Amino acid sequence: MSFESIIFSLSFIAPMLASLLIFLFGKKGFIKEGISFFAIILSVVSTSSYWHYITLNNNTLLLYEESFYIDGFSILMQFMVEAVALLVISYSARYIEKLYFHKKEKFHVYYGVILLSTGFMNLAFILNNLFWVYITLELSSILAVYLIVFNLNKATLKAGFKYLIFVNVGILFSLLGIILLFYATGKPVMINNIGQAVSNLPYTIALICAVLFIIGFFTKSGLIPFHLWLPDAYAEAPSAVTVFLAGAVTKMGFYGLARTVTIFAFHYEEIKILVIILAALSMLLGALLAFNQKDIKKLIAYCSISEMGFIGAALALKSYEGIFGGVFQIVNHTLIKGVLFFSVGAIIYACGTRKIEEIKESIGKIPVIGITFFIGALAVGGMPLFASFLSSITIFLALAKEFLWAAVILIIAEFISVIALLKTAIYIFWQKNEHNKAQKSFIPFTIIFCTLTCAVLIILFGIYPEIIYPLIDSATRGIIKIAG
Amino acid sequence: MEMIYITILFFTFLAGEAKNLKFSSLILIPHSVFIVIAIFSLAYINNIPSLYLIGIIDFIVRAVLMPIFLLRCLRKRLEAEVRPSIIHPLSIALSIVILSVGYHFIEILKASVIPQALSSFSCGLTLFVYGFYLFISKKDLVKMIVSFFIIENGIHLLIISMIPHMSKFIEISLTFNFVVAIIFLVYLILRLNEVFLQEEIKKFKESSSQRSEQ
Repeated sequence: MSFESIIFSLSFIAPMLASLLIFLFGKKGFIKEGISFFAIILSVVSTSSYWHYITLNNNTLLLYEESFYIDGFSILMQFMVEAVALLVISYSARYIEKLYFHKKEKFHVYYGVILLSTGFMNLAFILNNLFWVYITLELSSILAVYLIVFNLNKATLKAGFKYLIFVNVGILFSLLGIILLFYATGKPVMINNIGQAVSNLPYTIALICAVLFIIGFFTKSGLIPFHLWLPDAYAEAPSAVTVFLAGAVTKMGFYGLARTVTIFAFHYEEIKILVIILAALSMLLGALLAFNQKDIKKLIAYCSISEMGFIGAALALKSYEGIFGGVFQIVNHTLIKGVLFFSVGAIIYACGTRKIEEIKESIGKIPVIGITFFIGALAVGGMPLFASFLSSITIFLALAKEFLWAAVILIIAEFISVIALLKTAIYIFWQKNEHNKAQKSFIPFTIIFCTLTCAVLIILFGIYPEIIYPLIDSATRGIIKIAG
Repeated sequence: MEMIYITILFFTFLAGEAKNLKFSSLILIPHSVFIVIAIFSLAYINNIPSLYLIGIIDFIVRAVLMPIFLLRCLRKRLEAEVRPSIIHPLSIALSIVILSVGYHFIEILKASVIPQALSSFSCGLTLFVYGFYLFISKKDLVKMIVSFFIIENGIHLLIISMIPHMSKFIEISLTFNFVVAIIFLVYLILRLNEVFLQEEIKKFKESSSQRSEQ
């Protein structure tokens, strides 16, 4: 094995091996944290090396007899998942120590599962054969259930069961789509030739395949009407895990969507219209359902569904601007959910509750978290100076060219979401109890640091988008290239 | 071959509609055994030796492991099914329509559109559709796993009928995924059963202490 191939494989092997080490020896001291950081850093180095190689190779890499296919989109997704894993691990150190002290014996399994899931996701992003993508994607989903039910009480167990059964049954539809595609083309469908395969499909088969992929990957992403698992899973999981679910696990669904449904939408107008209708439904209903939620995490979960609708709609557009906006929104959605759920985690750390009424009664002074929550809320609304403004406006303009009604729904949904979030933020942070105003709540540095990192990145990418544009441009070109 | 598929569908109907969960889980044994018989028959008739390996793995996983897992789920809980969202007589009628009419309709469709697919196609697709119907109509957690199992069996037969020469490594990996998912689901149900049992005991203790106070 050459040095180069070792570097290439580190992006998924390092987290997988590290998880094994943690399962075996992670109980002692800070071994689990140390190994986790080291493994993720190695992964980042490996992904960076891909970035270097694809810039030299016409933006794509085919390795080991076409087993691996790497383009800008694979790299962007890997960077994102690695960043999320790094933040989640940093955040978890103090968070689970306090809130899940009774599960102390299982902390090493918690870290191990995060790493193993990260490893499978990183592997899924670079595999070429759709069957293998499906297998790794499903394994990473199954593993995430351990994190959701970490607390092992009635509510978490119910949420975990719902997540596992819905996602597994839903994703089987995409497997059926892959089988049909294989049957119709007569050979294994690879990501690098899917565009050609789709363009030569008989019309009816193509439509059936696309609908199956839509059901499968919409369920995985948690888009309406396949979202039933999402609010409960987000609400019941530890806040750090919620960020992992929102920032990494559901993004696997968008990866699948971009690799399959986008290609169908490029060739078949009906599919494009169907995806836009479903995505618009997600945008509007997600935002409307967010209103009057009594649980702060469920409120953000519904806003998340609404925002994911933007991504779904953008990825179905047959234009560079649309897909560019969608890819940029994937990154922004991860950051926004990061800042909001990390802030909520800090609030839960201080107050011990998720219920908005109870938070208001018991919350003390936590100015930094108040500010980050407001930043997250404004970013959901796509306000200027935030990165989400750029992605939302790009998606809006691209949508308005073909589907003005969907673009209007996007604006309405953003408006409703931001009102729902700001209303809650004002209620909690500005109208808090008089006797609590003087009381200061203690939040550990790591929790504040992770929350601030996401908030700073949202603003940084909003003011200096040129930092991230090359990566998003490369990812967009990658998606368009395979569409043929 | 037709008789084997009809037998599979009959056992699927029993597993899906039986109110007693123990019976429902046990009936999955003949259901899976007949799937294995169908795979062996396909391997023999179409001369595809690699399918024998798949048949053996299926026997271990689907006919032995799965029923054991499902029976474990019934520990510390009632064996009667939680009331489904569709009333039982209507559900039976719908099941018969999906399984019999669906099967014959798919059989005609297969003959006219994809004649080159192996004969298990119609049975596979019917299992998939029926499993999905069960999934949306049943509320019991064990029944949901049974429906997931039926959907997965349907997908498995579809893979065999449509792409019989597919890499066996991929098929084994898919089966591995399925087993991992089922293990997690069974684990969750076992823990939920414990929680429910503890709650029941707590309620009983509270009510008995209230009675003694009175």
